[in-house]
Amino acid sequence: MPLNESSSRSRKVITVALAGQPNTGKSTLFNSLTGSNQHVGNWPGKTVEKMEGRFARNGSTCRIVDLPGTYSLSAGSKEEIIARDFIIKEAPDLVVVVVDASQLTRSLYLVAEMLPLGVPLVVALNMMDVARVRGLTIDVDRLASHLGLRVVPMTASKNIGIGDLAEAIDTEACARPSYHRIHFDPENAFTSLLGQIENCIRGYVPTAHQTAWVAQKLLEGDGGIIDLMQQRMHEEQWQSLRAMLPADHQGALAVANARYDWIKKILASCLVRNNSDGTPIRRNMFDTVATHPLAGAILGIAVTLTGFILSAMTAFGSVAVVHPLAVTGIQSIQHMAGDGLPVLTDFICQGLIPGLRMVWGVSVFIFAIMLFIGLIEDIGYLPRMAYVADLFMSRIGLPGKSIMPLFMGLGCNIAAVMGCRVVETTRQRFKTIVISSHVPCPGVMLTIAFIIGVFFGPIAPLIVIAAVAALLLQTVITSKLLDHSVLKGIGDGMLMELPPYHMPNWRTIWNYVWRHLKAFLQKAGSLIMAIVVVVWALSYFPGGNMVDSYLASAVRCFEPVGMLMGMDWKLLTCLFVAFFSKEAALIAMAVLYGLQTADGSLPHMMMGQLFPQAGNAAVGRVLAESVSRPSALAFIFAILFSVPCYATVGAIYYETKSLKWTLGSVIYYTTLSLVWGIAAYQAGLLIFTPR
Amino acid sequence: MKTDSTETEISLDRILPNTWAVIQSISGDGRFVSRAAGRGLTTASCLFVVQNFRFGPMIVFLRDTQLALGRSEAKRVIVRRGHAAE
Repeated sequence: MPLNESSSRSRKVITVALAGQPNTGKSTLFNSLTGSNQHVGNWPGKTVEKMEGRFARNGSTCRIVDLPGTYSLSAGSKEEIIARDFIIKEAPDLVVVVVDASQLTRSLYLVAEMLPLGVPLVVALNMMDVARVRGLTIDVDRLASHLGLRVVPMTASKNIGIGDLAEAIDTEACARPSYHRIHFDPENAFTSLLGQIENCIRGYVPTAHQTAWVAQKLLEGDGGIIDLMQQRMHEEQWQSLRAMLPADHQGALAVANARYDWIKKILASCLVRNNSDGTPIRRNMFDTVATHPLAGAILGIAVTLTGFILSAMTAFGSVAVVHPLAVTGIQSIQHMAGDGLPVLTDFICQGLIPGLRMVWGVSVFIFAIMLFIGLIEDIGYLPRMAYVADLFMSRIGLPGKSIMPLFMGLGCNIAAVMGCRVVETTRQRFKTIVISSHVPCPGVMLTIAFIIGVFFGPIAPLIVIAAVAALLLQTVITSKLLDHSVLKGIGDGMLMELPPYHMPNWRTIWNYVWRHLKAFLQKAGSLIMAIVVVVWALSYFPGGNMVDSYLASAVRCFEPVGMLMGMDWKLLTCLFVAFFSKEAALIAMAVLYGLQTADGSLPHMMMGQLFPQAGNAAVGRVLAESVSRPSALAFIFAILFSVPCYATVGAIYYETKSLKWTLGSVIYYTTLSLVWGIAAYQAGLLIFTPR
Repeated sequence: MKTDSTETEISLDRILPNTWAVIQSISGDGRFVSRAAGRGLTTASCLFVVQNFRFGPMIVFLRDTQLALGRSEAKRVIVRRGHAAE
């Protein structure tokens, strides 16, 4: 079924929008229809991912646009606005609404909202197998008759009904539908009001919209539609319309009630429940444990730890495999080049190969983490984990689902940022990305532990407590700052569906993993390589070593700023080097303070992230003689809040799809690093006697 | 805090587990009301409280779906104990 590109050129292309509420199996259906013919991009001007795919049938090419999963078409979130704007403004040839057959009442709500839009619709009645297990019998023909739409029963996860849906798409996309009107209960007090609103706005509604749909949205208090109509209507008429609309938000409830009443009437003759023993829900033991505040938290931590450890072991194993190859390659190139082409040799050996190895290691790690996240999301466990975590996370202004990326951050910030995709709304996701990217990874912890050990021996626990307290405080401050600035608006409290558990669908999980890995390699991977090249050049030229490099000269320019934190250019360079990998700061110290344990090039220090050099004790002795305790304290806090490593910055760019957010994060953490560094130095001056 | 009292109308967060309730009203801004409606929470709809530990979020069952609500969200949903005829 997936499109053979070579055979499809010059054929007719029909555009189909795939809509549906979350957890209705929309992604599974999209994968079944399009196979590997998928493309990931961005919605124009938005930071929301856009999925497109194609398939060929009967000489036509079908372009499937996967709309974001939404419960309704209100203007409450970016995803909802995108979905409805696409349907109204892009006018696809057909909209396929995926409906969960096992949750028909709620699932048909989106259909009820879409019908007045007047677009060609087909209902994909998915999860028929789950409905059967739940004892539900659906009269599909009667449902189709009541809805006035083609209804295709199917089980996308088992590839059942896909052909029928493709055939329905083919047939219905060419048909011009007659506008299907929903007749609300005349007893409903708002039904007559709806009629009055329709009369009032008739003639002012844009041609792409339907009057009945606009009237419903006005009654719901939809901001976007209210603005639209205010612009199009004369002031006097607008004021009379305004007077009709409810002052509070009860209009939204009234319209929703009318829609559910309409659904209820339809289902009364189409749906038979064969399990009505009065028990609304039977929970299994696992679900009871998974949602228990204590047992669920323990289970969540255990599952996350297991996933993280397995992912880390996979990544380190893969790096261990390629490491000998990289070393052999470097030695061979150096041997072949001899004294000739020193710049090219250095670039390949110290820039390109270590950079590629970094991208390889990160890619394997992301593959493993995505596989883990995809699995627990697909089987329905992730929302339970988020539910349990919400108790703690809501106190710092984050949703429950943020717990997993934050936890992942203790192992690797890249994984944390990539893990943020489990967070539902864009607003919450961006907030979690910014916060999770500075969870101290092992590199930061290692560096801080070393500095604390060298400088603060007996009072080390106090410094650790102060650092942890500062971190928690800063997390809350960052959360509040975002809430009151770039993410200003109403918070998203928990209103989350807990979908039923089901067996994993490996094809869906694989598509999830592969899509993101591919996109990471194309976007973040290329950014990482670009940074590697720039950094190599800065640390190599003009003299061929780091001490005399442009990088060192540039850092010396910032020495006045460094002095505010009690740092000379050497310590400042170490802080800068932490951008490449936090552990590399230690190796930079060894080089800059006169212990030549490494060859002095920056990429070599980056290699130290995975295979750290020995000699920390010797570095410590020299450091203790060269750096004061207030400066060391400043360094600890500065590195704790420093910009995440460049690979994490690449991941931020990939996940937010926004240069503004990526640069904003870098600037924010640079500022934080400075502020905390200065504050710690000043506190250190008061506490410790300078040497 | 008084829980699952005999008051006629109480907020959802005060309903004990394994209890049926009918939604009387939902307060809050338009965005919240719209989000709630899309997930099946509307006036006169019947729900079953699956889990409520008197702290943290709670789980209800309505329209064939388990729904988790934060504490503050549950406070905005006013219910009356009982099982309305669906």
